[in-house]
Amino acid sequence: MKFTPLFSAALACVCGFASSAAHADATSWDPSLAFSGFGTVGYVKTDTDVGLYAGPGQAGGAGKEGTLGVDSKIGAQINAKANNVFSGTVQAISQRNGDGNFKPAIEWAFVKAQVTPGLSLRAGRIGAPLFAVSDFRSIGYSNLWLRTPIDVYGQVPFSHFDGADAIYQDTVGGTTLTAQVFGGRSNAVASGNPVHIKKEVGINVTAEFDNGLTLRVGHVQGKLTVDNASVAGLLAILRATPFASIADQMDATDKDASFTGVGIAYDQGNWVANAEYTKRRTSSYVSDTTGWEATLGYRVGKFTPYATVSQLKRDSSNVNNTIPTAVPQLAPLAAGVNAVLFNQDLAQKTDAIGVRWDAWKNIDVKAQYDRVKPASGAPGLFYRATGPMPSAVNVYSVAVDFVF
Amino acid sequence: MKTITAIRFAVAAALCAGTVGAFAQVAVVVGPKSPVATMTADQVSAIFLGKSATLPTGGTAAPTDLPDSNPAHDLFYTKVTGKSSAQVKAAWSRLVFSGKATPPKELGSAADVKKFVASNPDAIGYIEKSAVDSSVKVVFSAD
Repeated sequence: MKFTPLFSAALACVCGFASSAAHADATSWDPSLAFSGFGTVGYVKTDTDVGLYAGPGQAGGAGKEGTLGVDSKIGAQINAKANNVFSGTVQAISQRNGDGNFKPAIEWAFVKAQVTPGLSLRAGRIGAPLFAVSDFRSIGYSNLWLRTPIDVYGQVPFSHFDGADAIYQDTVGGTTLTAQVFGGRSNAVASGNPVHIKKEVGINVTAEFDNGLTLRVGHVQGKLTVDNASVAGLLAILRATPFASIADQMDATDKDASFTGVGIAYDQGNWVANAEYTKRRTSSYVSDTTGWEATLGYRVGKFTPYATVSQLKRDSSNVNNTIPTAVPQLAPLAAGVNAVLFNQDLAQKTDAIGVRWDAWKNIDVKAQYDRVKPASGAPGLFYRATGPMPSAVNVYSVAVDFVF
Repeated sequence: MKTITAIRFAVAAALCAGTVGAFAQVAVVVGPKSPVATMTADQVSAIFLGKSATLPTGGTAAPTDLPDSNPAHDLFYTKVTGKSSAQVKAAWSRLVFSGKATPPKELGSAADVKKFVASNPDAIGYIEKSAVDSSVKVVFSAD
């Protein structure tokens, strides 16, 4: 039995190998299917009926008559993992959309290849990383606010693109860097009008420091087309006049458009803070805007009171309306152009306070008060303003968010 | 008699302290065959908050969780990650609904965690320190 120690070692080695192989089979290499879901039941009312308070691109909103339609939603997600490299994700959401109904829509449907531990490639329908909070903007439970501040998030109606991306992630001395490049096309319906971005390319870089600080910078550009029958009608008339150049300035068909943003977030101990600064640029009647927000919150046990200030500015209407209003025959045309531009004046400021209560293990309850101040008479982000908006609109919201 | 009473009191006090101590401690455990010897609180937090999927030795971590109702659950997250149970849930919801990561596998009890950890060299879990036995190896403990 001289060989016993060697034999034992060999046996242990084989056993060890076998058990580690078995473990690999049992955990990381096993195909798996995970189902998860999220939702919000939210009620909001305001103190005006001149225009309706709506989420980004929503056709419909809240007035004096409160509604469950702005914030309520339900979503489901399936993650399927084939092996350590290939996985797939499908997410569907039902919430009030740009057509005003709650038809469930495929928000994401992509396959992912984890090429190396740091590099992943995805193809399909992917969440568009336009904002600091993009991937989980619809998941109320993941956010402090009752809803993402619309002065920033209301600038772009897209939340996903159809295409491909590459994400590289690396941790250097406690700092996690994530860089994403993407390309594809986006389609959405904003307040009843189909909007398309073609030749969409973008980059999104995030640095997450171990002290709770996160920095983010992103840029996306593409060719914008808006399908709007009444604008198209106006442009056709303009083109038959000496003011065809105004039609060219206004036309939103295959025009350059971009969206750029920087963000900072801090979450350490009881303090939570974030701020975001964004710019929208187009070469069409869709106005150039700057949107920013700043939020500060403090955790007191299961309650987190917070305050947000935000503003959406119109930097340019992008159109120089040179039609002389003094000529009676031209006045209606000049007014028609001005009406289109006026509807694009999204300028408004918002002061909001709210509280998040972590009521149950996967359920939160929130209440938020917003005081929205549209720029002098402008519609701001209100849906279907039927006249000049009041100088301040009070918005009262309550919501219950859940994940499962 | 006085001495005996005093001793009895001291023993009772010591037992009490011992019990409290046992409840107030949580141990991060791996299997006896795991190459990991010790870990820092930051390394443990990174895995349980979904910031890293990699063990210090390079393997892909297979973390296990305990239910909210288990006293070790809140103790672990408060003491090791510095975050409340609700904060941890919100953080995971961000990762899950971004399709970026899947949360630690929830097992029913400390016994289940020990069993899983003992059979899987990449597994990592946490249990009350009083539940630690020779089937697992402690890589970090928090008082």
